[in-house]
Amino acid sequence: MTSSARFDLADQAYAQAIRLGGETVRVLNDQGYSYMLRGNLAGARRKFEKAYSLDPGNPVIANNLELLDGCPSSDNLRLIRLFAKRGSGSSGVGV
Amino acid sequence: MTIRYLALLAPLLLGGCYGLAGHDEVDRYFQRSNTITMTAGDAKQVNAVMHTIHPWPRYVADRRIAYDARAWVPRSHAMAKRNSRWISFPTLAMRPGKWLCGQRRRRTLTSRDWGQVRQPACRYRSAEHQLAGKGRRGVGLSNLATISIRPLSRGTTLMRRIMLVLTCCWLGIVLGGCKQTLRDAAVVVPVEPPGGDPVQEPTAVKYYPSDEPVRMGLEHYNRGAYGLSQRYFKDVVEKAPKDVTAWIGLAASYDKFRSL
Repeated sequence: MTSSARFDLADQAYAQAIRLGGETVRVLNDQGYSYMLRGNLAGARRKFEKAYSLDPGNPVIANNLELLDGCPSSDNLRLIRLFAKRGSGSSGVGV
Repeated sequence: MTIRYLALLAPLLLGGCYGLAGHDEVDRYFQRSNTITMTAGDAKQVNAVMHTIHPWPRYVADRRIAYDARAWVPRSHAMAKRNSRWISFPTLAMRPGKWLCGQRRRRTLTSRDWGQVRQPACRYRSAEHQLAGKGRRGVGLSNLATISIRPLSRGTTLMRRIMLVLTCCWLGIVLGGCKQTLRDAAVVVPVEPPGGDPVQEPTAVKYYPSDEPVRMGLEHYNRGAYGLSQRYFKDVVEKAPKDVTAWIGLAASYDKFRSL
């Protein structure tokens, strides 16, 4: 049985990071990916687009946007979560 | 001439003592005094020294011995007449006119005249030979008859005094420098460590951010061990709350962490 991730704690951590360093590309991408994992695709798109506006040529953000635009169905969301579980997603602190 | 060379070479000769003077034993050797203690005004130390038990009789400390020094001259004269072979050189210097052949001088020799007493080397050696040949009885009067006194000129006296003063000045300067140096070298001043007291209170210990926990958190995150990365990042943000990278890593770890 798989329990849900601790998104509430993640939101608090993102908020603290934004307070300290502002809305950087890195934070926005990670937040968007977090929203995407939760199923909040609109919120994820908003974060990805904002990050992409700050750094237009970033391939990781472009990949995330392409993944989000490709198949916005529930199957795609499961696929994203599967990638995230394996650790092969496009998000992360290594942006 | 010897004093002149001594004055010129005094700095070099005493320079050799520069390193030795810093040694404790040598320093102690030079600490000599005719007083009871090495310092003045320390009544407790004087009292301790005075009450120290020693094997010497009480009168050895008596330095006021009343004695007529003039009594030595006729006694020596009488002894010399009696033996007619034995005489000591200091007595000769004290009353040269008595013993110099053909020169009856009334003037008593002073310390200046010591260097002016000339002994021909051949006579001196012959005196030694006689000393060895006659059962070590001493230098005979007949050998001492060759000693002559050369009157000192005014210029020579002045030059010698100048050289003596210069020698004393050199000695004072060099030894003064040695004393200052050895004092400085002997006293080991405890150097306080920079930054004050190294022993700190546990509450005063500050956490200095290190890249190691962050690096470990990133490594575990990239390996997919989000629980471990979460633990590392959480530890970092608790100790360094202003580390943005740690906060982002912690949030991403929360996002991807799944517990069974």
